[in-house]
Amino acid sequence: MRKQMNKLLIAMLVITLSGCAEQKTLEKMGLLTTVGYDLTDDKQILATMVLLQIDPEAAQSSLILSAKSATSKGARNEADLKSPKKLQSGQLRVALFSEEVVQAGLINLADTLARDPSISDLTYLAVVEGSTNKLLNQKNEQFSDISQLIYKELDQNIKGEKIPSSTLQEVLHDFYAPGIDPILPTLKSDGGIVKITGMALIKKDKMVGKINAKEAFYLKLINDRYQAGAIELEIDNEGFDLLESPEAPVKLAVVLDTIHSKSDMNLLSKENLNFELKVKLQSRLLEINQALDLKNPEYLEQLEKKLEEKITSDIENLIKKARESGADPFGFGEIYRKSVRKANLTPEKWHSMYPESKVDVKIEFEVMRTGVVE
Amino acid sequence: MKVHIEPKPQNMVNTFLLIFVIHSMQVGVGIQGFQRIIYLEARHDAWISVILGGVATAIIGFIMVKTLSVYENSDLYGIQYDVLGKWLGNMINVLFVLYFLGGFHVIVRNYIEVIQAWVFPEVPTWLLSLTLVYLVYYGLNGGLRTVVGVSFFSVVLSLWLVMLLAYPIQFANWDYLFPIFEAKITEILRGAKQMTFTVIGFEIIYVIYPFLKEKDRVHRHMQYGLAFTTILYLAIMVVSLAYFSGGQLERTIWGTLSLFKIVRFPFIERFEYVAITFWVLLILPNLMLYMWAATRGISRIFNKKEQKISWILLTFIFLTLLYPLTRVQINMFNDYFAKGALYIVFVYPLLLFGAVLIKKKFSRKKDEANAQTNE
Repeated sequence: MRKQMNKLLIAMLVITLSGCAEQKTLEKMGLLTTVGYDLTDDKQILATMVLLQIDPEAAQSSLILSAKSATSKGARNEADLKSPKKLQSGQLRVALFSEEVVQAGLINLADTLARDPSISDLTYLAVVEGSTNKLLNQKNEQFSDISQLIYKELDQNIKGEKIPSSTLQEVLHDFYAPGIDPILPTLKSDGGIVKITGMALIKKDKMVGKINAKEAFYLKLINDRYQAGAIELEIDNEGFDLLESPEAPVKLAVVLDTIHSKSDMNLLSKENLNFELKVKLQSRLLEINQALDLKNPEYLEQLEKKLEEKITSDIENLIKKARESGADPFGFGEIYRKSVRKANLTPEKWHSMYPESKVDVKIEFEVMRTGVVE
Repeated sequence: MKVHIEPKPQNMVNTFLLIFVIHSMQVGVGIQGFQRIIYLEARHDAWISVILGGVATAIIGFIMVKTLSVYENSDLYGIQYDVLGKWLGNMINVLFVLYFLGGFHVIVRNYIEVIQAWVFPEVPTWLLSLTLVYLVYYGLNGGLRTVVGVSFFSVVLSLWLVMLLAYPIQFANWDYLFPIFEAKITEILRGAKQMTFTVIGFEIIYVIYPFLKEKDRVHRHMQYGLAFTTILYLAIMVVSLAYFSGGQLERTIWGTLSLFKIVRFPFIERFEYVAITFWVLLILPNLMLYMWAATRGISRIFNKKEQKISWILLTFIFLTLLYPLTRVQINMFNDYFAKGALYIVFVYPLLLFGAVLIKKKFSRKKDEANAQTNE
């Protein structure tokens, strides 16, 4: 008798409970894939949202909405009034911020993204040079969906080791860590396409400068490991025994790829804030724009030495540039915190110490092979 | 009340299964967010606090089994009745029943809070608690062996969740664990104290002991279960410390669930939803065993049938769950419960052990005196 009662109760629960949660029918949902934030003149937030269209008969595969409000979620509610479908942010892939927004302070907006459990921690964040609204509204014949274009471009370049990664988790991680500042890639609309121009330097949560794509490569060299990166470097051709030809370019350019790297940072002296940065690089020489006899190991060694010098001075310049802006995307502060007991480092304390720091850069560079010909 | 219990052979449980009972009782809602409360005390040395907490459970586990093994086949209720007398003993028995019910309430509250914060903000509390309470009633109907079976499957079926830690490890930066021992000893100890809410549950041995078959193997299996839990907590703590930065960890309410947030499969992009709903399986043995322990207590004190009591207790618990609480109030409730649990689980067993030893000594003397007068 009791068993039968239980069965009946289960059957009743299954029927009644399934209606209790809010239903989310895919056709009735507007899935946000990209959202962009601008500041308006009256200091409000202008949110531009790209919605994925599931309707196969729609002329365009995405729909763009924008709304103005004091908060980002308020703007979403505002945009709901303009939308035929209920807006959902579970499929959000990219969040864009205009330079103005990041200069005023990024953290409130980024924090809202993290507070919403439906937003993935792997959402990419990026800074747009100019207006995000214009960038998202631009027309392109080759791509019907701008959000897919931006997402795939960021994803491809981050996974392809062109630029450092900047997911929501990583940005918030670095923001809340005492000795490292977050970095975000910068995007620019360029005649129908979207180009990654470099990275934004951020002090605490405010943008203080920019570095270009090549400098972003060095930044990744310092922070991360490379498995298979690539870069083009230019060096003076002085001292090389080259075949003289009048049309040859003044500079000697080489392209390195399948770069393997490992970096190591240490604190040498805590009184003088003297750091040591060691980077070990191994790579393949893919292209060289002048005739250099690579069979001769002497030349190859000379080339390696020249490139080593070049990379060292580039990295030193990058560190100098970042230090002058006050941003520490390299995480020297974390090395300090790790090496000094009872450092009690806070972001404020580190930012006041950071301009006094010195870094000795040591690069070890090795050409592993020169392709299939010599 | 009879001090000694003679359970029917068909109600007895293999001692080997004690590993699963202990482990599944310890792992519940506490594990979802223990990183933050310990980090706030011991900073990045929090993992040392986790180890200390584990050591404390091992010591107390030893004391508990020793206390029980003084008696031939009895449980906490019988021992307290025997040692402390009818009135005081039964009063403390009732206190323990209330503690078990409190544990049940806290677990359901916290789990529903997680469900509402992460997955279904619109589903009402009464519905979720009714579902859980009914599931518990259903399990209790099968008796202790069913409940132990549930805890066995809860552990075995959820073991694969540990492997998902591989995802956050990819983002981990081990520098965050250094310098080791930066926190003061007092801070680390305070962190270990904060582990209370996360590690409790093993006090179930007090009630389940008479139903275990091989008494000589109880202690060994108890320690296996406790060690298993400590290793699991340590692994999660170390990964969390390396994955989150300090400030981030201070702000993350459910650290373990946030670790799952970056797990992404081609067919399930947001894995934490699966993990959270799967958590029912992890808290079910907690709920069932706590309710079973409370039911045993009442039925031992008043000599009544267990089935009817579990009905009454579950209805009572369900009614208390209807009272609405906010996140802040739930946190406060958790804190009070953890404070009470610290005394009940970590301090009281020592006192009880002392009392039992003294009682044993006296009764032996009395026996000897009796034997002498008889000669």
